[in-house]
Amino acid sequence: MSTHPRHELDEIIHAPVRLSIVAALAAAEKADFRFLRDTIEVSDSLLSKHILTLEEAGYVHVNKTFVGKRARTWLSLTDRGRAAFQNYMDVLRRITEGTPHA
Amino acid sequence: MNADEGFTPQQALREVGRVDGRVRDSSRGPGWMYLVTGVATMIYWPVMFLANGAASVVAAFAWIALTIAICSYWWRRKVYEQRLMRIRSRMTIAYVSASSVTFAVGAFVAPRHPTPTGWAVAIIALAVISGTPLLYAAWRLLTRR
Repeated sequence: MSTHPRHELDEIIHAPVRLSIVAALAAAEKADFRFLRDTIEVSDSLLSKHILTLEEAGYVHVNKTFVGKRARTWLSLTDRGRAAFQNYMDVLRRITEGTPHA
Repeated sequence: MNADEGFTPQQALREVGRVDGRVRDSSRGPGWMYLVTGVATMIYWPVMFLANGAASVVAAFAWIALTIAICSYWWRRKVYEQRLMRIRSRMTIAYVSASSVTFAVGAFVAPRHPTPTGWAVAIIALAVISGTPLLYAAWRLLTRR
């Protein structure tokens, strides 16, 4: 008996906020923390919490820079994160298109 | 958005599409920037090499102001879309190459004051070629969805 593809969904990505973060970073070379906050419409603390989860999973790279005294936090997907998102999207399409698991 | 509730697969796909669209839309600004710079390039070189006196000085100062504005705008951006960066790298190579040729011909090869008609046409043609990569990048960024 084949396993339903939903069991293959990456639980780290398949959560509101984290999915939005990864989807935004997948389309971008890098994105500023404030851009993500405004796009996803979440608080700074909630966004930070989910970024930490993604960083610990090795999906997101965080780079803090300073322009004068002003700090900027840049986020980008790691190769591992990009591969995980690609795989996640493949599984998602299989589920929504009703394609049986190969 | 309620962070405690999970997405259904359909909701997840919709959210991915929404966020992807927001990142894509962020490249419209650079699209307009390339359009303005492309047109400015096509005007700048002929003015610098074919016009006399005050017009060249005005063009030089306008070009410096435009360069500062572009650098400031680019530096302040909050997101750098992947496709924008790919288009930008190819466009930059084409633009710098074409502009270098235009500068070399205008500054070192073409006779000056008065510039013969044939050379003037050549400089205008080179200026148009120089600005074309920017207009192409603008077209790519402003027309896609």
